[in-house]
Amino acid sequence: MIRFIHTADWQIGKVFRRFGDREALFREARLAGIEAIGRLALAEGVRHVLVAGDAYDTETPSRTTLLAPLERMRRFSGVTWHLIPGNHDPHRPKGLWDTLLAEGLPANVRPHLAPVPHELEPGCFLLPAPLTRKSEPNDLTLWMDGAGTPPGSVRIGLAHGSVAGFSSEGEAGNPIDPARPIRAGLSYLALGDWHRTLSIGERCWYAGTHEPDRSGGQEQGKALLVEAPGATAAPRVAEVPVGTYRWLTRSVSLRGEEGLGDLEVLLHAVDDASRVVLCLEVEGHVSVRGRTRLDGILERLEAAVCCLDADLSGLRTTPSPEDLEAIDFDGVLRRVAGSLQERLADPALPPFDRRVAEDALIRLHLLAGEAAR
Amino acid sequence: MIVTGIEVSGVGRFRGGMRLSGLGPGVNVLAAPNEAGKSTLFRAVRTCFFQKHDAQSQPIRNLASHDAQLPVRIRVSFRFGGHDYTIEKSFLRSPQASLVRDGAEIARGRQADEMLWEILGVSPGSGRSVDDAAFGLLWVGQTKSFGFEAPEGSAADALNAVIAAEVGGVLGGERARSVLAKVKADLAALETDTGKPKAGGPLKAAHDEVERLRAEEAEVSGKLRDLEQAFADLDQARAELARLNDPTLRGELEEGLALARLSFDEAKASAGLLLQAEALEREARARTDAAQAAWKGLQDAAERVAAARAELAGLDERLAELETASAAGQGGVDAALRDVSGIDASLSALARRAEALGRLEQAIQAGARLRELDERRARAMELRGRLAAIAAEVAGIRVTAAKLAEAERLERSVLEAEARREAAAPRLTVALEPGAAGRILVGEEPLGADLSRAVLESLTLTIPGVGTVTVNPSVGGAKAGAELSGLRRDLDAALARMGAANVGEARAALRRREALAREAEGLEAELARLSPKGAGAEDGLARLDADIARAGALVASALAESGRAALPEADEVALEREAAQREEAELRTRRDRAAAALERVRSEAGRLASALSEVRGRRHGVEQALAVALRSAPDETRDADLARLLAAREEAAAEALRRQDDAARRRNATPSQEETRARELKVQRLIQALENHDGRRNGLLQAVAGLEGGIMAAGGDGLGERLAALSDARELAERELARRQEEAASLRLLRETIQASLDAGQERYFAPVRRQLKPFLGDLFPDADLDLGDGFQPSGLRRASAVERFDLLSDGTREQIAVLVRLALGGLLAARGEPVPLILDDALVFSDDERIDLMFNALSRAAESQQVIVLTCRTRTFAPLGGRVLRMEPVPEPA
Repeated sequence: MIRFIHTADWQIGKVFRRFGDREALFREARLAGIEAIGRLALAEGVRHVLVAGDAYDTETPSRTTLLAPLERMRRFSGVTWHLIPGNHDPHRPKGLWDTLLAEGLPANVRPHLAPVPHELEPGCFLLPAPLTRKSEPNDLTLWMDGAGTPPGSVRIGLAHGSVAGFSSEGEAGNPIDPARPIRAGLSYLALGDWHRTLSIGERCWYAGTHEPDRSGGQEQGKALLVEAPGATAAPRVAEVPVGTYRWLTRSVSLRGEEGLGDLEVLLHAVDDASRVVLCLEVEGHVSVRGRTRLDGILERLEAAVCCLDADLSGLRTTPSPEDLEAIDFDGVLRRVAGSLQERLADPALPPFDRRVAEDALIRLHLLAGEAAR
Repeated sequence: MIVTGIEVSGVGRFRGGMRLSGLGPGVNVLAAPNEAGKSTLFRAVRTCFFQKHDAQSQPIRNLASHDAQLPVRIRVSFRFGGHDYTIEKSFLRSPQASLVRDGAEIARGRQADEMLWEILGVSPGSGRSVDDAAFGLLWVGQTKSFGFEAPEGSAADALNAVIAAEVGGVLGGERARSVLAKVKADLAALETDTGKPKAGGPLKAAHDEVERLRAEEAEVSGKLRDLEQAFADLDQARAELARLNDPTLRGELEEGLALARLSFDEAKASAGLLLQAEALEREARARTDAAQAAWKGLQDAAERVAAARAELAGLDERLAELETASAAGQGGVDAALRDVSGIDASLSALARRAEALGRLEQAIQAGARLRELDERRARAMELRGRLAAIAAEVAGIRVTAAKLAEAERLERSVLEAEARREAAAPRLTVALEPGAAGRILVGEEPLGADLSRAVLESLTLTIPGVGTVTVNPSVGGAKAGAELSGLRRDLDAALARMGAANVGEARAALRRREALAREAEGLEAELARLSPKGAGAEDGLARLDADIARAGALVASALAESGRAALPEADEVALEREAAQREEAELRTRRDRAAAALERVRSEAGRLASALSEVRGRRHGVEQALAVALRSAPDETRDADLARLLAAREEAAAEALRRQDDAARRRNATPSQEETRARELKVQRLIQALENHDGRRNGLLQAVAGLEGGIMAAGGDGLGERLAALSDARELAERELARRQEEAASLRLLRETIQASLDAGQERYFAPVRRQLKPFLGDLFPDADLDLGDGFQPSGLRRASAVERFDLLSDGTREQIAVLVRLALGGLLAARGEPVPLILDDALVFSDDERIDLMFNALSRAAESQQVIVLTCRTRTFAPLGGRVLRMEPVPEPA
């Protein structure tokens, strides 16, 4: 029997410029995830961590990015980290992996750059399928079928790619036969590329990323704790959260100001908000005054969570009679508001023009209020 | 509101108090001289209305009488809203205020100030000059009548309220302008007036940032592509290197090269042996050729000896024959030569004879010429004689045309003088009676018949028996006689110079002279024709003589040569010439035949001489050849030498045949040159292939090293991470740019919509004012319309569809229009039931008589609905305005 941790798609060095000053947090979180896995290994008495590709986000990272994960892994000297190149960081001559080898890796970090069986423990062999290019048309796990190991050995496959017939999130083809565990007599096939934790079969799993990088996927990063009892016995797999941030996606539909209350509820319902990345999709329509109120709520929400990505493209601001009266009861500005309102509601106008009219109306509302004061 | 009474004290010149009496509805006119205090009085009214009673402002202090210790006291009575009010305020000293309505005081102090404003519906004084404050628009102060100050504050509010009550939603213009100003300011921060991103603004910054990031991203992306290419190149290079490193490939090349070299070496060795065999073959063949040549040379010499000897014998025989024939031929030539010479002598004699005949013919021609020349000479001599005679006769005639003319003139003068003397002389007329003839003597002569004559000189009539009668000419007749005598002398002298007795003779002599001259001219012309050509008149005769001498000499020579006494006839000579010509023709025929015969014998003789020379030369040559041949093949050793050389030739030929067989065998065993060259090329090719192999391998090793170095260096740059960061940043910047562009678009839309709404609202807003203005404007400017701008400012006058800018109109027109606009605004307020007085302080100063009359009409029209108070110093001008006459009356000091 052997126990190990299966993880993948760390994509160290991924950039998050779109999140502004939060970028550093997310980059650091990806490194912190390594330490979380290390701690999990120590806690579980596991001596091997299998990283199923894409440890780096790019094969030409900065020097700091290159070294940072090594130093994190080095700290866990009782754990051996087995890495294979993925499509983000394929092994090409004098590329990233050769650089790492030239630099000198920590003793507990073991890259597998060739399809050669490696004995993890007596009677237990790791069969790695490293990628040597970003897009591999052939199934690199094919060699595992004929990989020579002593009879009765526990055979663990380690690969990065897309299970044939399975729609991968990854950009690369890199096909992998889902029947490979059967064909190659594997006790377990540890896969990377898919960022969500997913079981393809009882012996074949995607670990998912340890720290998500986008909304709409897995909310929190995980690692898999695997126990392979023997050469033929099915493995036991446990999902363990290791990620720092939760990437939540919420949708709110507004029909006037009524839905704003839901937002208020959401504002107060988010647990551990400082570690939440919230993607908020707001659709429907709201009055100008409601829009002002919405902006206030969003301000507070943004202050509460780690990061708020509000998508208001589905939200229309339609002035209410009260909005128009707030601009003026009558007179020039009221007529201006009426004109903008007509543009706003004109289906013949392109969306951009209508959006501009909407913004102009909101702006008029604010300026008229200021002028009144 | 109608002001009904004004009373002041401590104000300006009205230290002791003054009351304005006569105020009432309609037109009120206060006519007073300059500095009477009219303007001060009405400034006091406005101060009373709009300033707090306890205010201490400078305008109020300016109102106070100089050095007065009295308060500024102002009391104004007015009717408003159906009530009579009196407001009385004391300023500066002991300030107080009191408001009385319908005789009862309703407020005092500050409350009075505020209640008054409340009643009037105006704002309290803002501290500005009262002239500019509320309701100031209806007070046309001195020097303020040209233009129009936009109403502000309460005035504007009041007007807006009136207009709004009528046209409804035209409100909010100020707010709209305020919002518009803010929108413009916000937009100006983003873009320029021309719609371009403003330098230093957020839109430009966003735009620049996007451009910067795109450029940087493109650069890094390019580097990454280069890196990707380097990976591909390295892959390819490594694969090829692996192929080149395969030892089998190089081994095959080396083995092939060894075999090729062996084959090439064999070919080269065989070729060397062949060269030796061929050299021996060539040497044997050369020896055979030499032996053959030696034998052949001797054989040929022997044959030449025999042949020479045989030819010499033949030549000798031929030589004898030719010498005989040659001697005979020379005899024929000599005979033919003699024939030809004889004929030539005859031809020469004949030629001389022909020449003599020629000279004789010339002499005959010269004889004929000589006769003609003699005739010409005789005629010439005759002509010369006649010319000499003419010349002598001409020399004897002294009459010339001039001299004749002078004589003719004198002759006419004499005749005229005679006529005059006769005319002036007394006339003697004697009529004889029958039987009286001869009884009277005239001079000595008896008078036989009647007489009538002029008495030119003293005449005596003697009448026998009677006495004598002497008639003397008059004195004038004597003078005439003297003149006549002078003229006759002159005439006689002139005739004498010409050698003529009278004029007629002289005239005849002149005609003769002219006839002689003409004759001489004709003779000279003939003489010239007789002279030989080219000779002048003088040397013509000499030339004729010379010609005659030459012709004579020719004839004499011919006669002497021919021995004749006289020249024969030409026909005779012609016959002789024909005979000579026939003889010459015959001789020439004979000579041709003789010459042909000579040529023939000469040719034959030449041919024989030539043949003889040739045979002799040939014989000499054969003798020399024989000598030469005998030196090569002497008779003594010739046959033995021939046998020896023949044997040597046979032996050399056998040796050459052997060498030829050897070379042929070697040639068959040796590869051809092409084959050897092919083997050599194969060796070179394989050497080159091996060098290429090694060179390519070394090159690939270097290329791989270079690519690996480049990849490692590029990888170390963190290109991928940088590109990802740049892409992210660029997308972020693009979103910011789009947001800013949308913001600018939104501001532009708002600006344009507000502006359009303002423009549309302004026209509606002005409509009530235009309606009020129309009748007033029509009074002065029929069919004209006025353009209004912000604050009712006149901006242009429309007349006959042309717009004239207000500020370019004349002072008078501008003043009139400004007043009319005030009348219209006053009318607007009055129509709402809130009439305010219109005060004109020394206005309309620039109006001409016609216009001011029309303005009076307008004021009268306005006065129907509001009080009009006119302050003027021009009493006479404003007299036609009519209206109430106001008077300033001192207020008696309170007892």
